[in-house]
Amino acid sequence: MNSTLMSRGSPHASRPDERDPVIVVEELTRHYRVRLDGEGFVEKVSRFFKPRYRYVKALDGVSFTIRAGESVGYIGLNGAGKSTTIKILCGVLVPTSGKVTVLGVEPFRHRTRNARRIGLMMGQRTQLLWDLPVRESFDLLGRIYDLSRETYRANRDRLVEALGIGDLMDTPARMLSLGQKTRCDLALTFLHDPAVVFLDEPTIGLDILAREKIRDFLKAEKKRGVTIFLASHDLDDLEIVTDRVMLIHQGKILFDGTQEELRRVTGGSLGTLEDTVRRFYREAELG
Amino acid sequence: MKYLAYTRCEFLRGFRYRANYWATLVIRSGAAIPESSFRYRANYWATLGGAAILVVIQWSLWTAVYRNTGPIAGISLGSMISYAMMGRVVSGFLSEPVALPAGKRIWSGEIVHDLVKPADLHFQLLFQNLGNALYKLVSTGLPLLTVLWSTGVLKVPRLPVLAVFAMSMLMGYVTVFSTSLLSAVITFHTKSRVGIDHVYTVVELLSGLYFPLDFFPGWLRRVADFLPFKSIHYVPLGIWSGIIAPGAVASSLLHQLIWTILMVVASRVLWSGALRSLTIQGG
Ligand SMILES: Nc1ncnc2c1ncn2[C@@H]1O[C@H](COP(=O)(O)OP(=O)(O)OP(=O)(O)O)[C@@H](O)[C@H]1O
Ligand SMILES: [Mg+2]
Repeated sequence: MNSTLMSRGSPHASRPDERDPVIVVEELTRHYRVRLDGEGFVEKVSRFFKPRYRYVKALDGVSFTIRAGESVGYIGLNGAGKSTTIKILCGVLVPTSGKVTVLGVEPFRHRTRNARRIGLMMGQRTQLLWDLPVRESFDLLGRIYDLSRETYRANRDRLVEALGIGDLMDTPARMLSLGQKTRCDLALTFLHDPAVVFLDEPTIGLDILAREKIRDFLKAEKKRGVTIFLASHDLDDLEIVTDRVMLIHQGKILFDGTQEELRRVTGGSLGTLEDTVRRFYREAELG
Repeated sequence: MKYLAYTRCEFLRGFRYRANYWATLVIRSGAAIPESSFRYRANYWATLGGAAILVVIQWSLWTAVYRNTGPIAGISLGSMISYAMMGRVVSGFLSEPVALPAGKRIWSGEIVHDLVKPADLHFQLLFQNLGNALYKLVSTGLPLLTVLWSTGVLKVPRLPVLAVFAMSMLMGYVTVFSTSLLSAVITFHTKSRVGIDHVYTVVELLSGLYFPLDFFPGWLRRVADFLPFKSIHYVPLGIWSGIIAPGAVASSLLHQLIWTILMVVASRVLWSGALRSLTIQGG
């Protein structure tokens, strides 16, 4: 995977729509079944024996294609379906219906095969080994992904340098601050040269400078040709890192295009991405 | 064998707290010691102390029981002491992996990170817990063994017996792990641990943790002989102490091997089922 990534070279070498599709999603739906708890004692007991359910349509006919080297921002209000999409693309959640392929395979059918080529970072959940020095987390992943010693060292050193975590390598993860943990987590996500990374709110709870560092890092990784799928409520992240934005609302994609196109449809060329998105919600009367 | 990396991490994790204690003490000399690292260290000494007390109690108990009688159920005092003492030494290694992290991680959602690794989750857990078991063996079992051996309470058998014992103990570990994984799967479905804990006490009895199966009445012995649980304590300790006669060792090992494989397969099938319903229901 890595070699195809490299041979493609700079993402600017060819027009985006000519590059290979990395993620193809067609008419994807995902329903969650939520068990209803009765009101009052009798109802609670009877519901125990005869449960009733409510169905949440977390995703309701989502389709999109993402090509190699693209960087896509995923925008949506709380509960819009962003994390659900990411979980399905990573193969840890099975879709209710629809077709999903990531790098040519169906993620939930070939979870471990998919896992080798993707990276996942969730801002709220660290994958660091809690009690051990950060270095051990790197070593573990190096072995789990079967990286050769040279690749492992080179990648680790590059990421440690880029994210400035050299001083943290011998500290147990539980002693790190949130921002330090996030940077280490990000480095771990990119350790095995993933062709595509999914980032779910990577800058949650970080200060201005820490966010800036992370954005710079992601921009650099994008230049290296990594496909980036970034969901965040910090629209400044998306404005700086991504070229294309997708706006999801109640499980449906309402907009899919470049940032300029989003500005155009909302009838203004000024302001930040956040202003633009706010205008979009107001015009669609969704706020 | 990439899964040994998990073993290594979990093994190191056990020792981490102690090393960490000294590090914090040096770095923050004068400042308050973080309560948590102190707790872990205290925990280590408490474990060691508890094990030592149990050793003394068991030794006194069996010596008293044997004072006015000859061999009980064909077992001499020497073999009995050897069985009981060695039982204390390996009890950490063969104890129920209560720290089976799967349950906790499923509920906290952290399991997502384990699922997006190109590694089998069942083996991740098996080898991770092996690290924890080895930590317990080295940190409490080994000091205990050294003391018991140097004071002459426990005799170490010859090398071939030792090798067979080690093999048997490893199968015992896989059995206890699989049993615990099975109970984790049941917990996952019933969403409650009530019941499982009671069943586990019976499992411990049938495994030979408290005394050798030779003490059981005939019918219970036949039940215990059939079930997989004697693989956990009785077979390895019986080999170590000579309670299992040399002629019966081979058949005991075969029983262990068959049940180990069956338990691994059974726990794996049910575990995969639970995992599938997790990815279907959403976590
Ligand atoms: N395990 C679950 N069981 C039932 N409903 C769920 C489950 N997970 C998510 N949902 C529901 O599905 C919808 C989409 O959730 P999702 O987590 O994908 O939203 P999100 O866009 O990531 O939101 P946020 O910005 O708050 O992280 C929500 O209505 C949520 O309540
Ligand atoms: Mg979310």
